[in-house]
Amino acid sequence: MSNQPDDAVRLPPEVESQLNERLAVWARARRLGSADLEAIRGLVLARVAEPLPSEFAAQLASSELVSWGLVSSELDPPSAFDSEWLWSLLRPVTALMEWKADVGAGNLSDRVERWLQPLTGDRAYQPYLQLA
Amino acid sequence: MDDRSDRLAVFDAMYTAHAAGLHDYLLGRTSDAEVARDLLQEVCIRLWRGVAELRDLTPERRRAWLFTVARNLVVDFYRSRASAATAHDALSQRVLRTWEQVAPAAEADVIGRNELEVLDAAIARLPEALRTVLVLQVLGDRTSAEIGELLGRPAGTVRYQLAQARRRLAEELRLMSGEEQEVSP
Repeated sequence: MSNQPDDAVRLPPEVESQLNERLAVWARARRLGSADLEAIRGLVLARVAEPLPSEFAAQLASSELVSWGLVSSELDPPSAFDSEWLWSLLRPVTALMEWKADVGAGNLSDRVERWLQPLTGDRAYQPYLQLA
Repeated sequence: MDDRSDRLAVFDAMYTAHAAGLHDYLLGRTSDAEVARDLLQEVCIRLWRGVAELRDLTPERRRAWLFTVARNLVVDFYRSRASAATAHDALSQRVLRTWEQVAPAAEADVIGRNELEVLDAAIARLPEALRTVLVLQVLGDRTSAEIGELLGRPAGTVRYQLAQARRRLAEELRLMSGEEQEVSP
């Protein structure tokens, strides 16, 4: 492979100019601005914030889950229940909900699902989301 | 490093230095703006967790660590769509649907939102290797050498790929051989 574009690849000057102009339009829309970067930073820091308060952990692990309309078959086995894991999911949802005006409500559920999928795998997280 | 303020200082320094580049790389690999932002969050979560081990690394190794994480997350992202082949098909179908939706509008005198959709679709149709170098160049004004460092490719290869990407994009946008559509702002 040559290190330089050959003539077959090089564009005519007028095409170069038009292409640059259109790519500049695209770049202005797709480049992350300082507000975007700050919003993403905020979401990340929300996801790694302080641990779950102990009283809330105890409450979540108790049978009160059933009284909130959840049935045991919808939840992971008790031995697999991880209150820290659950808290790590619930905390950023709040931040994301605050962000939804920018995202668009229609896309929010897709974004939450895509966000949670790598974290949850096959775990039953939908009942937990109802708690939020 | 247990002190949160120390950890935050290192995190912020690395975030400031690399977040935009990581985003551009992720957008180039996935050609999906929302997915790129979500994956950037995931990279940063791992950054937070790995701050203690990253603190003493050189800037070059820190950057290499971050881009390795990003690369692995892209692979995981495609795997999560059942398989890489299925993911590619799904992506292609989505791009085709997008293109079918916007192509009629592109035939009219359009700019702005439709122009962005046309450009998104055209860029998404580029081969991934070409798309990635193009996005890194266009969004970050990076040189071929800088892109080569990020991707582990010789600068000459990046220059060649950039030229190929631009030519194929010009063809996608029908700028070649008098096929140009009127889109001037």
